[in-house]
Amino acid sequence: MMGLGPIGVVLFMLVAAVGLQRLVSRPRALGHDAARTLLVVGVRSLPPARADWGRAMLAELDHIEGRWARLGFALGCVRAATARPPLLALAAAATSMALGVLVGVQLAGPDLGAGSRIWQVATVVAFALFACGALVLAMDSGPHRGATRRLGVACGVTVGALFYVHPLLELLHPGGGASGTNPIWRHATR
Amino acid sequence: MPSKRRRAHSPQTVRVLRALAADAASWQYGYQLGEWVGLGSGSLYPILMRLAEHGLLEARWESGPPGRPPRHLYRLTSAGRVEAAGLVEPRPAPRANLQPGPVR
Repeated sequence: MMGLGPIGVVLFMLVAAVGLQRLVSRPRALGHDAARTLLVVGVRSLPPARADWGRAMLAELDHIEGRWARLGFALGCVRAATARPPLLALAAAATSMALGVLVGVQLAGPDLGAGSRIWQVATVVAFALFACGALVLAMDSGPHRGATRRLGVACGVTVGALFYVHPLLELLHPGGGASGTNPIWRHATR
Repeated sequence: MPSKRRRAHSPQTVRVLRALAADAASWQYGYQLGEWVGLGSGSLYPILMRLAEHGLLEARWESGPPGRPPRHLYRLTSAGRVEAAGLVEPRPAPRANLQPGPVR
């Protein structure tokens, strides 16, 4: 905050106050939009043959009163729209878990020390899990294949992007040790 | 679509079929139906989708008053009514206080 200077601080407080006032004065609109936004995004993963069901869910939401009832309804519909067969659900769970581990190791890397063997192994395992999960999702041929394949490709792109983000982090924190705990990145950025 | 050989209905599906069969001539709203049978949208819509795909449920858009978005309405098809009529009564839940009596 000190780096902003007095004018910057005043401007920041002004913008924060206006934003807060808008949030407080329109809480219902915020909740209303949250449920609808959530559902609009969720129903996109329905296959084309079930697109009408997505429209039916959105139409039904417009007739539900109460923020929490709307949010509960939208969450349930998203669950219904994104439900996948067990193999795909497992692949999605493995991918998200592996991504969590990869990001966690990346963030915690400097504190773990470059020679932490267990984190090196965890990174390799997480990366393999991630790659397998993304591959299974990207090769889906089921009724939801459009959205599932997009998710798989997005996962692949994310992990690919992590390779290229890492050298930037290394530049920002030279000698931080992150690359030392991440053999995949260490080799990729060599 | 003709009804193919299917696995037995889940208890939730049976509840939905029974609720729709109770007033088979009327069209029902999804949210209302969910409240009636005690199912959230996350359980109800997959059931409705499956029933429709098996030709047991028909859906149409409501021609509602202008200014309000039309809603989706559901009711059983004739095949759905037959299916609902053929459902066996659920086995009564075992009573907790039932003690085994003497064998006569």
